[in-house]
Amino acid sequence: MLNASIFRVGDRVRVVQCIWGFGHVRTPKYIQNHVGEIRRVHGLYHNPESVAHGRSGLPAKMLYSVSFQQSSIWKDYSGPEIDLLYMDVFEHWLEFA
Amino acid sequence: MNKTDHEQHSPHEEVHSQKEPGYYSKLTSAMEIILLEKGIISPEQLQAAIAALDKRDYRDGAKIVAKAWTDQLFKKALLHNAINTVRQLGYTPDDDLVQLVVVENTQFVHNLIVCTLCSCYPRWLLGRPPDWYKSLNYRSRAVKNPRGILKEFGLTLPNYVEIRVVDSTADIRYMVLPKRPKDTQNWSEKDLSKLVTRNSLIGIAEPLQSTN
Repeated sequence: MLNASIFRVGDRVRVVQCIWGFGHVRTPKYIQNHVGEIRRVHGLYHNPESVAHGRSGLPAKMLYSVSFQQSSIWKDYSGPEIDLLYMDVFEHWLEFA
Repeated sequence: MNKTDHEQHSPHEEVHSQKEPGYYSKLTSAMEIILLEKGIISPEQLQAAIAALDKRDYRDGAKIVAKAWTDQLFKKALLHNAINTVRQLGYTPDDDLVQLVVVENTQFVHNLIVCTLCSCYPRWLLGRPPDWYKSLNYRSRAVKNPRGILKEFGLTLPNYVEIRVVDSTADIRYMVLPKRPKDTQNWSEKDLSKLVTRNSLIGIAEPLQSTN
């Protein structure tokens, strides 16, 4: 059961906002609090927030490819609505939207 | 990331590499000197590591692309599970944890790869990334204005083409499978691979055309 992913392809998810504001994270600020869609379940990967501090990175975390509408991220986005941004986000940074 | 660096760039400045060594470049040099002086690594080990990196070249990526253009089954496998598929051709990552995903450019979809956090790139397969790829200018602008930056590199895409900017934030490294150039039906895999440029594997440009 530990290997099961919480989210499935097609699920709408929100990237949670970083509340501690320090340390090594792989979820850029510009995407926090934005809503996207799960596109691919990459599988389990060592947690970079632990590895960066010399720890084991275990338990491994589920990693997803999430797509976001460019025009929803940037208010002044000049391209068409169909343009997307894809980002790899770890499960503990996501919640159902 | 250095705030002062960021402020130096005006929004419309063209992408170029920084001439003055930056903070991390100086830090790396200092680290190299200390490791050598303390004898933690030997000069031979350092040279061997650099040689190993230099042995990798985007032309291996070009060969993979040419194979995918001519072999539908291979292409399907590559898009489904790139790492296992390229392993079968003898390309093996140094680190088992690194993953590779290949994304396909078509008539209607154009992928562009960036790493906004640092400069993640499938080095184990393609060697070093170009300098502009590592520049703060490219990294900060590719996500916000991909069409503008593509235009600077000479590629204007119509609005019906969906642009997918891929920000490689984690362990997955990305390579683009560019669109096969027109009028190349009877071309051999070897000749096709010569049309594939390093930039086209990042998605900042299309491959060379058959008339080039």
